Amino acid sequence: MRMNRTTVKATAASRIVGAAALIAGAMLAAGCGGTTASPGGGAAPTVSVPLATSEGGTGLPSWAVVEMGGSSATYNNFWELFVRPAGSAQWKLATPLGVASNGGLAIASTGPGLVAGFQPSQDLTFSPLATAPSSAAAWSQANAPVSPGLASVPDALAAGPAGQVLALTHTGEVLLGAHEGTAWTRLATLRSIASSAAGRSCGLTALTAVAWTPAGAPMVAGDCSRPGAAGVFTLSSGVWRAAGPTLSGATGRTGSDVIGLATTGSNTTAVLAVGSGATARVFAAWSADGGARWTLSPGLRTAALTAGATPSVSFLSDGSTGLVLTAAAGRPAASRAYTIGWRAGQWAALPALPARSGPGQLATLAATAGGDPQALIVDRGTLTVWQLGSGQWALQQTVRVSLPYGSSD
Amino acid sequence: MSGMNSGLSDTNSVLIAAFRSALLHQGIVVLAVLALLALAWIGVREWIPAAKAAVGGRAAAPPEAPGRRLLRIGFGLVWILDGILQAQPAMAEGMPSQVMQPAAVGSPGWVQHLVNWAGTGWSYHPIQAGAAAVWIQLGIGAWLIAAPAGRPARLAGLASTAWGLVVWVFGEALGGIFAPGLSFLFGAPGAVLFYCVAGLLIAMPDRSWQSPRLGRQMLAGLGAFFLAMAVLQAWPGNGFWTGSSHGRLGTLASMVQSMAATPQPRFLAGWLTAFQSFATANGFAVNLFVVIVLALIGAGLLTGRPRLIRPALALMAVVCLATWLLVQDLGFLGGVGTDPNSMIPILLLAAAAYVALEQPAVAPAAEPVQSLAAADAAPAFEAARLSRARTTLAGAARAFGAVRVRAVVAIWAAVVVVIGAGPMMMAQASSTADPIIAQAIDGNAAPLNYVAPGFTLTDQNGHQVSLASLHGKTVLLTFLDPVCTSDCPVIAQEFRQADHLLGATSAHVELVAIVANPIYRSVAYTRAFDSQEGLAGLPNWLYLTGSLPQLQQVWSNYAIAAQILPAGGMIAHSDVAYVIDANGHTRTELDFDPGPGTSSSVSSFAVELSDAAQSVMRSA
Repeated sequence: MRMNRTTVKATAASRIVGAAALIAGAMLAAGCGGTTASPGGGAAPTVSVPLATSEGGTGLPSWAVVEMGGSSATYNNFWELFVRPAGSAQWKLATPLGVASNGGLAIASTGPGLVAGFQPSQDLTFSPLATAPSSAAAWSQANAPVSPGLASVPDALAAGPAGQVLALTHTGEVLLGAHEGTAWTRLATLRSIASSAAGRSCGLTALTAVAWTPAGAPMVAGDCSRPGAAGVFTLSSGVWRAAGPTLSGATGRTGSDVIGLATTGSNTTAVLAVGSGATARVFAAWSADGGARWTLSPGLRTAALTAGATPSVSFLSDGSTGLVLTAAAGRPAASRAYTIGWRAGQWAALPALPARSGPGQLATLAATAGGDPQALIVDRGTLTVWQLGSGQWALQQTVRVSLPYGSSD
Repeated sequence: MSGMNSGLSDTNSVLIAAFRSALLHQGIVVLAVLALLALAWIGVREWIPAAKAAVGGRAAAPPEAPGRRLLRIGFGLVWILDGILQAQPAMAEGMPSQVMQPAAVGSPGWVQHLVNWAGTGWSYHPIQAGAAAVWIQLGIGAWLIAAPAGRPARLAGLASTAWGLVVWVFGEALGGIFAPGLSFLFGAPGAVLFYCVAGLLIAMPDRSWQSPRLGRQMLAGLGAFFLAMAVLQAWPGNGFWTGSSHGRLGTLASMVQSMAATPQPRFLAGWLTAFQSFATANGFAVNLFVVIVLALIGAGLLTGRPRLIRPALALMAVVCLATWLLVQDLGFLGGVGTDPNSMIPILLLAAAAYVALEQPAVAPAAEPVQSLAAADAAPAFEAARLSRARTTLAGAARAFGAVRVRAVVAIWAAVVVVIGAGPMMMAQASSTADPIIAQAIDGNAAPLNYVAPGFTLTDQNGHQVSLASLHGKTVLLTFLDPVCTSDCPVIAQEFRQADHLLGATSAHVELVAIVANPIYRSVAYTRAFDSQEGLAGLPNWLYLTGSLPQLQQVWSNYAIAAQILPAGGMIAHSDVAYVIDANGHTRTELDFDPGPGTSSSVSSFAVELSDAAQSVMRSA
């Protein structure tokens, strides 16, 4: 077949155009396949607090919650409860039985005993509760579970002086259990507190902890978006009132998150995270009158906090507060620990932990009756307890736990 | 990609046996259809001599274009090879997780959703889907090879394109064209896309093949494709320029290494390993060579000049075969290979294009009526009459008798495609999975007939309920831990779905669960569980509990173990379901461990349970 010159030209042109289009398509495809820039900016993140914690009181048992397992499959890691009975130097496993603890545990001391709540996990959406009258950890089920399930914060449960229990749920509800969780009634929701005068003045965005005042009034804490406010509230005559410390000066230029709240005897301690990045600081605040007046500690400002380390709080048996800073993901730095005594003038940095404790393995702090700090370190199924004395950590105890790997598959 | 598979191994013996059985049964049907067609054709020709005569009297069809014939037969053989590969034992269960899911990795979310949708559908009916893929591909292959020129062949081409698109979109995740690291060497833009192109070319009217223009356009298209592939290969940031970096292999070396690790003849693995070492040591040079060669091939084909096209085609043949051998590992070795990858289809297209350029089809020399005039007019007249009479049954029979053997085979091949697609389409209409998955996890149900041990316990509303009080109804009984985090909520949903599947007959069925936790067993917990699982409003649902001695007695009677595990473990208990008939006799025991508990396995259990309940009700 013969073609005239014009046809040949047109064919060649269309061929070139077609080739150019395909090449452009290929370039586009290559562009499509490249990485895209992540959106920048946005609000400062709310502090996420690990569930690991410990609590106890003078003359009372000490309880500690730690995560064990080290599996990349989170459902194969189990939160374990350890108890050190009053007067004893030895920790022992006391995890309540009958429910998978792979979602986490929240604990509330009832004095000699404990209420423990299982965090929702996998397909379980409510929180079973267990109660133990003493450090012997003879557990029994509470008569009714917390539904919806507990919030994923260490202070999601609080036991009152008359045996009542406060529970903070993941939906932001505050529930009151008549006696160790026999029946639950709703006291408040995030929305109801946020819309109250106290909540509005704080710019309440989340609830993070529940506690009781020394007088037996419900107390909740949360995150405030308004500068200068600390989100602690108490229920008085059916009204939620602001009961947190006032943050002033440089401290009061940003919002704050309450990352720990506990009342022991007549003393209430709140731990606050303020700012982020270079301005990140942690404060302890103490009140001996149920939140009417507060004393604020100096701010703890460390390179680890600046680098995004996660703070977790423990309330030690001697009345002091412990803080563990776990390095952010991708930063294999060792965890650092600090303590501050009741109304003390400064945070004390504890010596670096022994080299054999890997990054992120420091779970929580405790204290002996004599006030010496203890570090509870987890490596898969092994808990080691380190005692600080004469400026050095000494291994005091090793507890090996046979974890039920695969039991929740 | 949740729901993309049942969580079962692709070597599960139950599924493999079921797949083989399905292929065997359908194979017998396929052969029977062939035999029937052959008998019918012979019969019609014997009983209606006019039909036989019509064949002899027909004018010889114009010869098919050689390039088109090459495409038709070449891709027909490739489809048959693909069909045979689809019959590999692991394919039924392994296709979603081993082929579809990996193909979609790296693609944007919408592509992954698309593939996940199809993969979930496959995983619901692995046997039907696996067998369908076998027969559809064998059928299309046979159809392409057997179809004579004209409409049957064009239809075969369209069928090839249609099925190819299905495979390209869902099986190859659109060939990964939206994923990073697109490369000619790895099969971009998806081998099956070439099948689609070939199908469209086969479907083109005969006159399109009667000039060299089509061949020239095909070669130009291939040239542009190779140039685009050269650009992609040269694109920085895809890792092709690096042999290794900081101890990590570059993209090409890594691909070859993974190919070398699959099961295959030792000599082939040795070649791959040697090439991987070479590519690791000379990453930049290898990629430079590839880019230049691809660009040369593309430019050569785009010129349209035969003296440049021929060396370009020769270079393409060498590069494609080398890539097929050293990078793509022949495409189907090891794992669950589904096709010979992209190099053979590209070469077939290129060869067909060249043949179309050099040897276009000969145009008919004269009008058909003139050909007929030269032959005996009577059979021609008869053929024309047959054509008019096709609307009647007798006419259709005569027309069938008048077709050639190849046309009979083509009809059979089209029926094979329907045999493959039909069961799959019917299965897809079902929202629940094949019970074979449940049987693969826990084995077959055990038929029984003994008096079910009685019990009297407390339901979720605080009322006493005994098994005797449920006589007259079929009871589906299981044991659930109300604070269980994994299996029990899944089993509860299976019960709920089984109730839904039972439809109106569920009025004669009572769904009963008994607490299987020695510690958390209060009514408050059974209620919380019901609320969690959406069972509170189900009228025929009972969740029973009692004192520990009461429960222990029932557990013992039904051989249920409920073990307390230390250190945060969930209660370990037996996952089992019983079907108790209206007279209180245990008729079926189903092991009811949901295994991985994916959506397909869950609905599979529900089907198994509802089937068992209906079977018991029917036999009552």
